[in-house]
Amino acid sequence: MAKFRVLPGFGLSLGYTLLYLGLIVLIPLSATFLKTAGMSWADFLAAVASPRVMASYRLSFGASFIAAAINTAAGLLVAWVLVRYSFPGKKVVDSLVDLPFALPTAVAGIALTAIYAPNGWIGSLLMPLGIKSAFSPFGVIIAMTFIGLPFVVRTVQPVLEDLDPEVEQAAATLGANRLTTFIYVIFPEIWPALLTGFAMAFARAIGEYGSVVFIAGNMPMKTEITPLLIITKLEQYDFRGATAIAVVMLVVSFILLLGINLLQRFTTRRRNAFA
Amino acid sequence: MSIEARNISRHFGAFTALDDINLKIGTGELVSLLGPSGSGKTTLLRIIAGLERSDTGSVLFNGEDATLLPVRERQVGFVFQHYALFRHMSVFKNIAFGLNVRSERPSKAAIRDKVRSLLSLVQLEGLEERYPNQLSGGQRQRVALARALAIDPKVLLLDEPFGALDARVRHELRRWLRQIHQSLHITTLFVTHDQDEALEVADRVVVMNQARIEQIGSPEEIYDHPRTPFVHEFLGKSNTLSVKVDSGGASVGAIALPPPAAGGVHSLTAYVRPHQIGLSRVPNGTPVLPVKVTHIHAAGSSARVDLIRIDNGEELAAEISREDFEQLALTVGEEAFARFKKIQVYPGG
Amino acid sequence: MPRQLQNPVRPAVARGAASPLAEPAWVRWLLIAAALGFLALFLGLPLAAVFIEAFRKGVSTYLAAFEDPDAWAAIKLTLLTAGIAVPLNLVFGLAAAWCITKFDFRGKSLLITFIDLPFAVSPVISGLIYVLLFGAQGWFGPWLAAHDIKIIFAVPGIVLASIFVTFPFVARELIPLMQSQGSDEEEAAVSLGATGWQTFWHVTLPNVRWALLYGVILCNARAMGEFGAVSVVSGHIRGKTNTLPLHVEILYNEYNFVAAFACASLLAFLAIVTLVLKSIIEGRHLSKP
Repeated sequence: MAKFRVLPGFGLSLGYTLLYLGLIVLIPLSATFLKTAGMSWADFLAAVASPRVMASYRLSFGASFIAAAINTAAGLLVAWVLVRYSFPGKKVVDSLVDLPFALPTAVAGIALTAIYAPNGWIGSLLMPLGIKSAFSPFGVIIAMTFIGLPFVVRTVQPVLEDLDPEVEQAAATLGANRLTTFIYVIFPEIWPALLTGFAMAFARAIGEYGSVVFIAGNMPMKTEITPLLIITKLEQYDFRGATAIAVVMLVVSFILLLGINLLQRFTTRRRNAFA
Repeated sequence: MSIEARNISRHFGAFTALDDINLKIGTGELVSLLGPSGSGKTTLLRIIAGLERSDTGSVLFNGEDATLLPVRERQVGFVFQHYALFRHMSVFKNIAFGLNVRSERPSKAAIRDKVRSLLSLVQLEGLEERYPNQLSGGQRQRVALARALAIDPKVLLLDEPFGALDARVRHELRRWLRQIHQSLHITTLFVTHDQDEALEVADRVVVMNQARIEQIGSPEEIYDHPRTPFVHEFLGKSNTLSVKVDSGGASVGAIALPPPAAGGVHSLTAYVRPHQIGLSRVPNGTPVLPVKVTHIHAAGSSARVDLIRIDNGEELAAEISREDFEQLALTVGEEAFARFKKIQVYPGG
Repeated sequence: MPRQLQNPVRPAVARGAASPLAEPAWVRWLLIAAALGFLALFLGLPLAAVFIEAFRKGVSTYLAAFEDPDAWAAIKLTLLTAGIAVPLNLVFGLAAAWCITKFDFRGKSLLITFIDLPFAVSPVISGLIYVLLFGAQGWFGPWLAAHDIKIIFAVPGIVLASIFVTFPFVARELIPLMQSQGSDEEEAAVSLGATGWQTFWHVTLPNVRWALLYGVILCNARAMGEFGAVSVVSGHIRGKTNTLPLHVEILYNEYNFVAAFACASLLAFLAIVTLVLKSIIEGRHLSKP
């Protein structure tokens, strides 16, 4: 049954959208899955679960988790300060938060390496303390913290702005101090946004390449992240191995994307439910 | 507990919200702050609650200075226009919040008993596990009131408590607020811009306009003896008539007015409520104002007759009973005579 | 929020230093200091490092980095890539936003999710997928070789990878805005006799122009700065298949730090311009959610 449509251009715009989406995104992405479909289960396991690959998972997921956790705490702090307080230069600071989105990752990578290298501004301060910052998992965490920084700030900020000040005032008239009000009144409103921001920062850090490879040192079994391992396998013409690892990463990414979408839907519904 | 505001002023940039306000509210009184938007009534209420600072002046509770007392130590019950319920907490948890956050927290059983008794007071028994978004507006406002009462407040402050509700619920809740006040005898101050609400609910009404108090009095005093043109116009309908002032005294048309109290007033304005205008077809001996009928609206408990003064073309509206109207049998375009049962004269014009 | 319109005094109440509800001043300043300290350490310092390292050996050494013909080739290729990827994604964004926001059809939310997919994919994998299709061992590899067409380790591969990583930018700015604007104005235009294209040009496009520009700016920044995806498909042939970020990498790995940071400073400058434009558009023309 043909639907009644007032505006023209449905067929053209949808057709073009699907064609372009298919050619650029869907067909190329499905190539990874088809490529691995030709592998035997044993080959696949050998490719995605060898000790070197497992070490890279540990580093990628572990460092991403720590970086996302740092970003959650710091992002909440930054969002809170930007929404609640006024101070000179606030607008500049607010725009600067998006720097990791705008700065090419390779630039971030070499800049962070220069700072944290043993002779760098911070690296030279940490070295005497016995902390090797660049070319260690510590450096990987720093780079991942940098690139994930805007996510938590930008998801929590609008929720904080939307909070009804009267609800906090009501808590005050009922005898609650600021800390109690934060824990029992504000936090229950913002945790879905915090969790969304965490998941986005985590997802981004897992896949990140440019800003991490310079500072990581890329020692197999020690400071080699999973995306780098894919490139290494490609350079050794091990297409199947590279693709198998890519499939594992894609599945993780899609699960995270699904989780983030569900969280965002939940958050929007909560924000609208009591408007 | 009594409340006193002394010399309270508050500015927001160039805007004056409160200009040297003085107000005393006795223990157990039910007082309404009435005024249009921007008159400063909400700001005054919030300063008394401690939700906002005044630039100058002080707030006294029972004669003791509470100006610098933080809001959470004032023990005021505050009810917000938009309820401000904690939406992720059940009705029970909302009401229990003030008991749970205090340093000497009552036992669980004591809290449960308290919440139960409050729920029955606000007639919401059985809804304790609901969440705010599962309640109607009227129910939410009852929860908000129960929550405010849970901390045994010394005073109850309500900011446009019924402003967000529809007309029928509003009427019901007004009556109910009176009842609660009668049973608890808690000093209560509520803000409204609805004159009917203020007149119906309050023992005393404080009329505010442009950061100042215009008049304080019982509902009858305020309605029958408005001290300023603003109060006259804000409470109920009124007609404005220009007054002729000369050596012989003041008059509206042929109707002589009492001479102005203070000498040297050169211009006066007269105010008449529509129901205080009588109409007749003949002068009847008393001083009258000749008028012409321009429109008749007779569908209702009384008839509204729009008129213009024949001497200067000013418009006025009269409200007369259906019986009187049917006896007179006026039609549009006819001339008639208006008498004033009561006329209020203010300097200026 | 109608209640704020009703009483102009209210909004000033909850925030600001004078409110009796705010945290004590020492708490406020402590939190501000902590937040700014964190941002200075993680954002300010790297940005400053780029320019300081670039000018470490003076202006002339800095400028010398751009005398290298390979640097110019990299700049040209970067501009070419963005020049192709941005317009293509712009057209796609408009088409996608039009069909998603003006019509109802089954599978719409799935389509929206698919459009966002490239953001969820690691840049390295974004490059890998084209290698699997067009590389020497890829599906079309033998056919392309037979016809002497080079995609991988050549410019077309770089452009494709850049299109992929910047795919959602324009669409995701337009869709929420056009959704909130509804179709009333378009329906009015059509009822007055406008054709589809007229309606689009005179009604829809002016309404979304700032969001469109916003999306284009973000899309462009990413297209010019992409590293991981491009790195996989480029082959790193100097003067031929190096974009500016790849050129930075090569210089850095050759320990030519000043030149690396000099080229990086161009990209950092692009990032700053992007942020400035972005905040201007946000401040004046969009109320970002």
